[in-house]
Amino acid sequence: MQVSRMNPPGGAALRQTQKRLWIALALWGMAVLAGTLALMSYSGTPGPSGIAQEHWPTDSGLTLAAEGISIVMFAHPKCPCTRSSIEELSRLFAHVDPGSASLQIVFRVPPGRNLDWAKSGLWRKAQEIPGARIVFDFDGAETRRFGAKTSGYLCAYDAAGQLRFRGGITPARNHEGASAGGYALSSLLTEDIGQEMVSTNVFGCPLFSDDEDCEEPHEQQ
Amino acid sequence: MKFFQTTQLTPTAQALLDEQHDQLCASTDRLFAALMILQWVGGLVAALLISPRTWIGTTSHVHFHVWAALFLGTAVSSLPVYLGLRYPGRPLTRNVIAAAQVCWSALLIHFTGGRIETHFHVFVSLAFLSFYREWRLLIIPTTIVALDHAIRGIFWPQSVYGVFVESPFRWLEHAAWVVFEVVILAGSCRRGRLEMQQIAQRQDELETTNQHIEDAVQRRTQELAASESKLAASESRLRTLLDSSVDPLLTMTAQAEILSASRSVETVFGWKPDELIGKNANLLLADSAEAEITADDSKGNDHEKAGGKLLAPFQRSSAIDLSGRPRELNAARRGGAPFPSQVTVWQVELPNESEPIYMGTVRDITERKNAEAELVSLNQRLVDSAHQAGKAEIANSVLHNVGNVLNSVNVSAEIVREKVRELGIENLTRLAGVVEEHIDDFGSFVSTDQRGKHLPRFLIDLSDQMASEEQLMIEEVQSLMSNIEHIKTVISTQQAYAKSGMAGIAEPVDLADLIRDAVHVNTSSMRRHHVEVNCELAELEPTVIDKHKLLQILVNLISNAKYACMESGNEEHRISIRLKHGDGDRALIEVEDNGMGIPKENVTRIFAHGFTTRSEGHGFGLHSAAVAANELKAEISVSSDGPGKGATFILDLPYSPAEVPTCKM
Repeated sequence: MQVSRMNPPGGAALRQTQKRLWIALALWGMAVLAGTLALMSYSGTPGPSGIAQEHWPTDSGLTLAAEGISIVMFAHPKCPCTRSSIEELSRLFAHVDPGSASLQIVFRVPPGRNLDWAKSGLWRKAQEIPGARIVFDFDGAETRRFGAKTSGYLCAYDAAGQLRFRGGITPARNHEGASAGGYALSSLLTEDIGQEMVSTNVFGCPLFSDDEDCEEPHEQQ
Repeated sequence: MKFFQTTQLTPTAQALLDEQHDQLCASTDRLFAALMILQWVGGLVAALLISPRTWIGTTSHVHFHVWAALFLGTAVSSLPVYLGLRYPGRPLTRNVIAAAQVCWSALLIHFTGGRIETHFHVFVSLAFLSFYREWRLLIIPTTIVALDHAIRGIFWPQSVYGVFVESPFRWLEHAAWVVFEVVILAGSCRRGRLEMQQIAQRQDELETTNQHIEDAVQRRTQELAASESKLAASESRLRTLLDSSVDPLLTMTAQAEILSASRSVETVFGWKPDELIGKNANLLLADSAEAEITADDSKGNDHEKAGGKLLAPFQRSSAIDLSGRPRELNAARRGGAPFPSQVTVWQVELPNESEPIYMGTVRDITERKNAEAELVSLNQRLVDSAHQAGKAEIANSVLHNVGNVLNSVNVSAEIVREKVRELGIENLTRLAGVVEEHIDDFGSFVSTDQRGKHLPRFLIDLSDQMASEEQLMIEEVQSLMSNIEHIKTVISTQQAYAKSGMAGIAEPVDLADLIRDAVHVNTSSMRRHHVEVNCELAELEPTVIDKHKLLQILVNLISNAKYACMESGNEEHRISIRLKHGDGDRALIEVEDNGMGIPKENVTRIFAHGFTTRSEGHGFGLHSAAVAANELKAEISVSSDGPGKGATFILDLPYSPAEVPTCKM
């Protein structure tokens, strides 16, 4: 009985082909490895962390809750990486007692942009979080006031106005999932981990352009 | 490369297994090549939709994920697509595909923002990779995942340690799920391989069986072709033989539909063979025969009716025995001209045929019929001639005997005439003249005359002489009367047999008496030729037989024996006639002579018409005897030890005394 088999090229042609294939494989491996490392590097590089005030700024237009933890997140309306932060917040607040924490999300609207521009998909996503207060910071005063520089930056104050947490709650840029920030915030809301302030990396787009001064405080809208 | 080696597999099954695996891998490679393109498109779309641009305040740039989806995705998909399309089925191809597939899992997870649902891609990819049914292939993605975590631990500890902080053992849970799936898939791969092995084994067996069947079919086909060739040759020969048949040969269905006809139908019937195909065979019968058959059909059974008019009579006449008994019918030529024919139809049971077919021959017997008529006429003439010859033989015997007796009569009459003439009437007349002359003195004349003295003496002597002559004459006349009586007897006997025999009527006959009569007819001739006849006649009861024909036979046989004796040159001529009871209802009459005998070569010819060994013979006698014996349902035979040793003719007659009324004639 005859059985047809695929006939690979034989002899020198086979060796030549195999050699080419191995070279291609090596190049491909290196390309993929390099690209992957680049992607990892990009995703794993945090933005500049904000320097939030240790106490709730009194001149802020934002509201400090009388009880529980007051959380303020600063976001760029178009930052795709902040979507993961919103998702994490949404997931976190789905399990949090409304009386134990309040959430205010401040969308810093860059100069020259209006409200329509600012009402992006991220804004719609933020609105879906129960109890969340959405604030548009047109001049960036509140953003500067709380020292936020990177979209996704979040700070949490207790009822006494004491800063308890600052930083991001995602493990990487545009990446959901367990992270040190997420874990710390969750612990703050549910377990009250103590008086020590926790600071984590923030992964997101810069809230201010290079030509903007992110240090100068502005009026609250 | 061999897929995997088992001792149970035959080399062919192993080859089949490897072939099937190669085909499986090749098709799966092509599937993954398509999947790679799809994933590349999906990754790019996801990047464009989820993170098209990155923003810095008011300015934005294309997001790194888009470039990563475009370039890194292209890099990841390029080689597996190329290998899958260019070198499908090769181990390198599927290993590259396995690596690329897990890379795509990572990329898609990144591009979709790390959605937990996208992590399912890892498990789906592992399931897809199990299409190859190689558990070793699952090692590669598992290794890559491990490397991913290791590299991230080095270069990007936040992404790893963040998880560790939240749940130090969650990675073990993730790893356990992966390992669980890998184990399940590895088992599935092994089962798949075993199934492929079994399939290969069965396919090998099936193909071996198929090969055997194909070989058998091929062999049978060749045999069939050879048989068909032989059959065609045989059919051709048979067709030639059939066509060479002088008598038309037909094959018919049970409904008398003609299936085939030999070429000679054109000669005999005037139809071409092709013209008869499909027609009813009754077409070949004359109207009279058909009418007769039609009338008979009304009494026939269903099968006969279905069998058609031609076949029905054969079934009836031979008690449904179509073994080929010939039947004479009037056939019809094209145009309806009838002619006598001998039709023979027989049934042929064909194998694998539900209904038999019928074969028939039609022989034109016109010439034979004419010859038979001529023969009958000739035979009748011969029989008549034989009868005439037999009668002539008897007449000849009668005349011969009568002639012999007449010769004696003539001699006796001559003697009487001479005696009368020698009786001395003139002396008496002269004496009377003398007496008349001397009547007046007759006394003196007697006493005185010298002549008168002698007259008494003369008278005494004359008286003595006449007395003597008278006795002789009385004896001669007695003989003459006896001979005349014999003639009368012979003639009356002949007349008696002629009268009874002419009518050809059988009557009770005493065979012994008949034999004596036959001898009696020849007595004179026998006596003249010094032939001694001895008869040993058993006393049998009379039997009914044609007396004239039997007498004719016996006279011929006795006459033939007499001639045989006469021409033998022997001094003693002896004929023995014996009558005795034969076997069963037979009687035997033997006529034995010690005559010239019969040479062996003539024993079978001696009864032939015109055969004779005598110079003055005609060859009618024994032939007529044989003809007469045949008419009597008797058998006549002859035996002889050879020339000079005599011969014995044996007439074996039917003998039925019980049926014979005891009527003495």
